[in-house]
Amino acid sequence: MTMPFDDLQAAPLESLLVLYANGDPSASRVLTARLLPRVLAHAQRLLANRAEAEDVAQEAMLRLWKVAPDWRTGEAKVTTWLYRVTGNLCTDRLRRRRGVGLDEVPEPEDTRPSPADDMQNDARASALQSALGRLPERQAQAVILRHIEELGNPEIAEIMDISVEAVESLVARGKRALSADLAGRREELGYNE
Amino acid sequence: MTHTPPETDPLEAHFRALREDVPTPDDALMARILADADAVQADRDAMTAPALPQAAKPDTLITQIIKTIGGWPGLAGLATAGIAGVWIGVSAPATLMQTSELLLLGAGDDAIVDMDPGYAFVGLEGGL
Repeated sequence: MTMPFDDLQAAPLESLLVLYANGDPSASRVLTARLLPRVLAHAQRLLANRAEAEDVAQEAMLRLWKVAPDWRTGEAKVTTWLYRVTGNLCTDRLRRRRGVGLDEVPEPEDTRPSPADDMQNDARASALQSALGRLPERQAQAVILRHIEELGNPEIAEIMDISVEAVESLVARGKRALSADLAGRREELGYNE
Repeated sequence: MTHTPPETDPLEAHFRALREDVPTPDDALMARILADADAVQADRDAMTAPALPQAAKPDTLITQIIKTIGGWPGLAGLATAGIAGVWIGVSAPATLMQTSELLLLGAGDDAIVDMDPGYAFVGLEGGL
């Protein structure tokens, strides 16, 4: 069964997954186009490393392809499931990094071009990315999901498999730690007050 | 005129900056992921596709005839009977010829009895 590509663009993610499982070759293209940017961004924010983020994104998508025939419609959002898988894959890598030694951990990358107007924004993003890397994994994940991906606490709780109260606690502690970390760089980052 | 409230969260500018910094998947990554998708789909198709049932071929005329007469045993019986018929026709035994002549041609004039050669019986009845 094959649907016209334009129809697929507007189809719900779950329907696309069912179509993929039923053998529609176009469904994987649309799913990838719609999901990969989010998966890659989340992995990169957690890992601060482009190559590793790409590996994680590929692995997370591979797991999605494999789970497609068994997907139980209505039980979980596709994006929620993907954030969870991506988060778990990143956590595994971050834990392996600890065994490697701090000196061998790659520095957060900043491969973006930096036009003059964007330099301050880039500096702020880079500073936050570095500070997130110094947070405990769970705090960093909760802060990223809440304030970067802008998800609601109930969905974050589902992704992280914890209670909403635990999410609130993780986010609050993470933000306090980030504020303290970034306080020393406020003038450098363009805060004059 | 719109009014933008001042940010109360000192971290918000950082969050906004990082939100706007969205990595774009490159073509190579897209290609790898789509290749995975196609491979998983092909594997699944190969594993789960049931063997297609052989479409039943329609019977040919000969097959239909054979089925009508009871299949191969019926055909064998028919062939035997046919060969026997040809053999009898070509080289029939003498006794068979005599029997058949007796049945078909009669045993001679003595076998015919004329019960009223002068039509007397018919005259008595007032016929004719």
